[in-house]
Amino acid sequence: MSIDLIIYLLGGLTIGSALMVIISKHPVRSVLYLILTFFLISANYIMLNAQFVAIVNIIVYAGAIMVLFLFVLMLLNLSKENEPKTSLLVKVSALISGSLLLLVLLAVFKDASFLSIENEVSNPNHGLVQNLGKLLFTKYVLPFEVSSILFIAAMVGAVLLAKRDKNIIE
Amino acid sequence: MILSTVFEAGISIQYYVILSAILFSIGVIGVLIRKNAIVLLMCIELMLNAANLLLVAFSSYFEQSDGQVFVFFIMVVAAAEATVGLSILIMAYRNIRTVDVSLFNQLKD
Amino acid sequence: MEAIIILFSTGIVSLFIAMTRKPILVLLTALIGVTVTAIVMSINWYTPMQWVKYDGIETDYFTIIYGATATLFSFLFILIGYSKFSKEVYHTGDYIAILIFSLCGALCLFSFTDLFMFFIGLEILSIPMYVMAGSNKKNLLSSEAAMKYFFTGSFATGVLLFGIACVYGALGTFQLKEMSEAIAAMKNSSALLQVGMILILAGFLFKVGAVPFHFWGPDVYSGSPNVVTGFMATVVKLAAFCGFLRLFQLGFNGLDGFFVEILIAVSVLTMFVGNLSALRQTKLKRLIAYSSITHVGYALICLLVKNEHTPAYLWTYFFAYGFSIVALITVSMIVNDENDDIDRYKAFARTNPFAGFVMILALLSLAGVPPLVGFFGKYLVFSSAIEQYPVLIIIALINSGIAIYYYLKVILTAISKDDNAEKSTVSPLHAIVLSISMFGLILGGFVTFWVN
Repeated sequence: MSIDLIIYLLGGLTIGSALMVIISKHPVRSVLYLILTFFLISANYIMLNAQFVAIVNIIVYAGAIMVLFLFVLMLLNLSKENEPKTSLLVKVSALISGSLLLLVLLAVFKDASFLSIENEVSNPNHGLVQNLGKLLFTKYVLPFEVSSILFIAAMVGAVLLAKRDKNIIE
Repeated sequence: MILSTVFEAGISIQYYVILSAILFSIGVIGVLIRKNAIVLLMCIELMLNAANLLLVAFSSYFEQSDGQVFVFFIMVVAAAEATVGLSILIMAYRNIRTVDVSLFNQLKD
Repeated sequence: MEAIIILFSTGIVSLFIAMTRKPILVLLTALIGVTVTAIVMSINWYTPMQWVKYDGIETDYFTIIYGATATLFSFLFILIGYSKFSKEVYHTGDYIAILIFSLCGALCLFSFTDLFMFFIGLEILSIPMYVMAGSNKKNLLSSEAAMKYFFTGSFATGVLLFGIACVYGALGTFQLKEMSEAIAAMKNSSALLQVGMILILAGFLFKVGAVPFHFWGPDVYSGSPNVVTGFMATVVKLAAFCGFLRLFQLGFNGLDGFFVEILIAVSVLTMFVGNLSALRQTKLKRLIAYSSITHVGYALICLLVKNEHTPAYLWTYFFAYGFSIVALITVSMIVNDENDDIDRYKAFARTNPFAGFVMILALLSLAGVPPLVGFFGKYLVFSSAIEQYPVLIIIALINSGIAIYYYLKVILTAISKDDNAEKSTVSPLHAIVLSISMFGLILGGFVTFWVN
């Protein structure tokens, strides 16, 4: 009973703070709610026995990516006053189309049957670093290496775009 | 350290599927509703996180680690995407002095 | 695998060489690297190299053909773009390296065997393109194009990922082979799998710009620098199509039932929307964008036909299409007009006979006039599907007819008389590219026969 309660509470809080991300008028507040959402999602991961992913989620998302967001927000110096307004029509139509998507997904998942556990390699420690590391560096070592191309391309690209050119400064 | 899973405690996988479907839809609504480019990017991150949650839930349900390894790759891509996206934003801000996506309307038929 | 390593090293080396601030050296490095990649890939055709064996990637004949084609087009685009890249000495290396990194992603998409490589490859393909769309930094339109491309692209990624998560939930694996086995063993269809496949399909249609997810295409194409537009229309589209074809054929055992109906509807809509919007365009790059939407509609027919030749037909189609785009982009670089109005091409064929000739060939090939390579692409695709989907092919033929109108309009503008027209200068690199694409357009048909 108690674990049920915790899990439902966690789910409700996650949804609530995700909603606050899109409702908040002030972008900085949105960022803070998104960080809260990431923490709550990490809590969900811990409940799902995925401890390492939970830690990495906090470090990478809440730690690195969201700091980058906050930094850019501060750099551009956006405030509540120059926050763009959305017209009511757009809001209503977006809400309707989003809810329709949700409705379809829920309707499908409501009676969906799920694959039962039949893996011979099932392992209760599957969320721990040891197993993930073993998998990452044996079976999935190629995508791991190839993702370095992605990073270097993103890095070069980000510097290329965000750097002020010399002749502009002069 | 062996924890009994939430699925043994009587929570069905359906709960997590629905939770992530709701988070995904909130992300989609956010993308449609907001006009601030930075918040738009945040809503896309929310969509990616919904996919992450679903993957972790299934990985825990199947008791295999593959799904969680995939989550790492999603994080890799999310980080790269956020970097590039924010730098595009800064560049556009220098040119147009706004982050309101509805003002990016110079290109049309 | 070797090809990806060589390309990646080429990218890194050209980044370092760019520090010498001598653009010509960067160009040479990049061209040598890309050529070596193509050679290594062709050696694989005869004697498969297996010095490293990894999970996640598998080289077959189609990998090599597609890879060689993408490499060839990238080679041509680096050549075309050099005149523009070298203007900014500080960034020449960056531009060329980013294009090469994007090509690495394309190569991953030609050979993946699990969803990990598929997803990473797709992102390596697209993220550099978001950057390149905005590479004209001080241009407002270029920033806008980058912004639009980025947001639609990453939204599509989000949708695609949710789809992949659903598919994982339904099948419990990421390996294409195990996925197809799991689907074959499934007694009744799983709702989760269906939702996952629909979301993946939606992500795919977003990435290739099919109707109803086409709205970003024309804006991004017309706002981006010319070379980038060309690269997006050829290499990126080829890679995205090949990647998803692999995924659907190897992973999902081909699409059937409900998905066929969706794809037919999307294909028909894509052809009509692309064509009818192209009719009233006054700018060349927007015309290219809408005509590329139409061509996506034709190429989608390939996904509907289930036989072992489909990858070859799809390849032929994009091979043919690519040469036309290379030629048209080169011509637009030669004219080099900010507004890119079609009127600006008035009397172009008279002042620059050779470039004008290749431009006309390219447009005729896009329209599918027989001896040119574009005809073979269309012929193979249409003839492969005519038995299964006769009505669809008739609609496609009607659309080819409509398309001839706006291609002819451009041709007539190019050969019309105008006394005030000035001769544009054709740089040697552009002349080389034009001759290569001329050979491709005229003789490409034989190559496709040889490959098929």
